[in-house]
Amino acid sequence: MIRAVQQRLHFAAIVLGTKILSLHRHFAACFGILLRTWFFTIKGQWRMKEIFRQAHNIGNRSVVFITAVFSFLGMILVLQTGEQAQRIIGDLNLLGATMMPLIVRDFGPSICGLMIATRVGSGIAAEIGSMVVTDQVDALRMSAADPVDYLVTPRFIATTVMMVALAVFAVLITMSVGALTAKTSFGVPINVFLDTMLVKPSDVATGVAKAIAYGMAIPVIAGYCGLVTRGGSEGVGWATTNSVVATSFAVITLNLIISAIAYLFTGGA
Amino acid sequence: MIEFKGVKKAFGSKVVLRGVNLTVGKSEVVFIVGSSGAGKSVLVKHLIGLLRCDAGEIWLDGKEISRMREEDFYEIRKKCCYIFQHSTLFDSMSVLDNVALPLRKGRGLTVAASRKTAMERLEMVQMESYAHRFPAELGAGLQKRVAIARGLTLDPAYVIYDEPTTSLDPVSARRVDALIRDMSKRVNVTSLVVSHDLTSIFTVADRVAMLYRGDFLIDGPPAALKNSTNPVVQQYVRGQADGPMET
Repeated sequence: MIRAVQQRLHFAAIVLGTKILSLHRHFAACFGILLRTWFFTIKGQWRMKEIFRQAHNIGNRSVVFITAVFSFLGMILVLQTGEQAQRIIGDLNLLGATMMPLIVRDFGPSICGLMIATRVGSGIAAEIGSMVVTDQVDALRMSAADPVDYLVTPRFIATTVMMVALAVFAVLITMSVGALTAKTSFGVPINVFLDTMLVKPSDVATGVAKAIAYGMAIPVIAGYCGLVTRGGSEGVGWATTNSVVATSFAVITLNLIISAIAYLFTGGA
Repeated sequence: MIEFKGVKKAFGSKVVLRGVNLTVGKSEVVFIVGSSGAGKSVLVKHLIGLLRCDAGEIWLDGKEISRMREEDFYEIRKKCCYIFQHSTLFDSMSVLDNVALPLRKGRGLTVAASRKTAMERLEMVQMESYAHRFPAELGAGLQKRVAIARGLTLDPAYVIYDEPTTSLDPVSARRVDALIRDMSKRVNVTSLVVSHDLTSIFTVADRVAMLYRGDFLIDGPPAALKNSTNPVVQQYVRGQADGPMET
């Protein structure tokens, strides 16, 4: 009996150890790609046409999606918090003012980051993964082009820039739709709802820092998932799935880290 | 000169190469044949660092290259080009830009200068009139010729063709054969060709090496393949479904 338990524990330890080592390997490889991407971003030649093409795909083509998602979220947020506030304090004049720091600091960039992680991250992993299984990445290497420089760097620059723009856009949409919802549902005047008195510079800085961090992490992780694709179309499918899981997890983790750092620096004030 | 010395390679539990030895001399056209999955492409990919061997040595022009770092392979890839089985042209680029890419990345040429040289390479394979088309607009045979032009842009001393005539119609296939022979004669290029195409083998090859179960069964002139008494070789040459050959 004891021997059987020992054997199971031993097996569990092996499985756990293997998973931890594998996770460490993936993390180290991802970090390596991040360093190389930074290197090519600083030292390499920017292919502006490709960067604009990627920025258009990542940013402009996400506008409708982001507008729809954040319009609904703005409405839901106002209806839920408004109903609670009406029940507890009865005064809804501070509804917008209290919501705004949260939306600027966290809600806007982080939900936007998750949206971009699923829409853009999966696209990057699928595109690069397809290139790997059809030998196009090897053909790039044969053409003396570094796949990280050629495939990841333009997407990295484009996603970082467009992520900030989309996060700002998401905040504006959420607040605008929220103001209209507050006006029609609770009769809160629009100028009262859009009061920015509680938004501090540190909230804006935290929100922008998060958007930049997500914009850097998503293409690097998705690019890595694409570059390690093996097999045929099944491999591309797995690369896409892994990319969605890993980039979403990265967004949540970065959110926690940046929020904690911001709290330490500003002391919550 | 290319030398494979005792090269071994396994993918997990599947052993693909079991100590392969092969020497390819200057300007030779050597065909590597064998059944699908025999490890022909795996072997030649070691030469340009797309795969790394588990054991053994690979020598290129008197230099051992199997343990080189990825960055050091950039120089090897300039003199040793690889023509992929499926052409692998970049869909987002025109034919001209596909051919110009190695010149921009490998030699640091400007866009204009790289396009000028790329056009010359396209003329070598009679594809200049297609320069501004995109790969999707070309048939498989034309794509293959563009891929060969792209491979030749950096004036390689060695060209590795991975099944160059697969999926081509007979006329296109013979044109590619003629191109391989022409490159060898005209520019003294050494060619290592992975192929199943018996017509190509008997018209173009100087030497044929047949890979079977991770090692070479025969290595000699094309006639040696035809006249071999080995039942596996005979089954391969005759294209018989039944026989001793393992799939």
